Amino acid sequence: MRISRDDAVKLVLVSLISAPPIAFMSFEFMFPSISTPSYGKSLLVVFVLSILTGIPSGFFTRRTDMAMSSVFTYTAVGYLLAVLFYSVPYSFYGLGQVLPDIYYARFFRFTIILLFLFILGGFMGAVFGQMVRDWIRGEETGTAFQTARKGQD
Amino acid sequence: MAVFDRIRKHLATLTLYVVFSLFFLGACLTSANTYGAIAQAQNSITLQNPEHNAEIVRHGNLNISFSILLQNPSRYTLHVNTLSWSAALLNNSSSDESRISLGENYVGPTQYLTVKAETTVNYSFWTVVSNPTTIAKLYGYIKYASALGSNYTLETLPYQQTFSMTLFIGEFQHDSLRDAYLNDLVTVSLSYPSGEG
Repeated sequence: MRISRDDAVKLVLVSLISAPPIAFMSFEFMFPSISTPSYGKSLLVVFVLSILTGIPSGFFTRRTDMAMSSVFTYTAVGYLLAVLFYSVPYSFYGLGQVLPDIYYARFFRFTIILLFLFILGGFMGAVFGQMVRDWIRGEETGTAFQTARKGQD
Repeated sequence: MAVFDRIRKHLATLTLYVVFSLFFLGACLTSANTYGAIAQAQNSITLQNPEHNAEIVRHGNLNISFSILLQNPSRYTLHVNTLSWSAALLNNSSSDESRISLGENYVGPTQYLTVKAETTVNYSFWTVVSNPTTIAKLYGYIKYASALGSNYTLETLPYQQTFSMTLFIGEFQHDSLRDAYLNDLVTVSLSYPSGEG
């Protein structure tokens, strides 16, 4: 798989812009009662939001392999961001609570189910995004041909 | 660069995408801020200045009193779940009654006591021991201690006063079965003599 400079820039941009929803969903799943807004740890909402988050990957990326790769990268960046949000408060107010305890184990116990939903939803969203983009392009091409034909007549 | 040309072409779609992302970034920051404030509250809510006293009042009764300050510098109102105080004398002179109970008080969650944000509340308790049987037990202990070389009066006996309370921070939901960790997160447990500030 050859990655051009444009592809790399696009990958980085999508990873950064799509990461916050993943971070919030991970954080909310850990603390449903203190999160704002809160959807009460609903896996269905996580899945729907994952699909929505994946749409731009497909919409803005022509190459399917790059779109799929961007789903992996933004999920990774978002999850790391969630770990950061999870650890920062107690790092300030009680580092002793973070380091020796099972502090991170509590967070990572949800990893498998969440990452599965993020990536599956992201793939579905990316495919949907590509379909939408192709449909728009088809419509644009059709309209352009019609306009050109009218001009010739 | 082709990417930036495409950005210009899809400006409306991109704006929606960025707004979607910024909304969740804001939600992340707000939620992490709440989490930080709770973590800070856990560290800053303390019991201060415990004071206990025992004095003889009218008719030879014994008045035992206790007061303690609860400091809540956090931005959250605290909801008292349980609050208990007890005064007793550890009685090592008898194997039948190792603890002479003198008074106690308990407040449960149904009392709906609250401690407002950034305030200090003084909790005071007292009990008048007037039961002749109990007073006789105290004198019996004084006699026993005297035989062992310790001189006590009713006012100087080593009464054991314990105070403990559990509080919930703010209006966050608690679910004792489903989110045990969350309950720990927003629960403050304080006790005297071991946990005062």
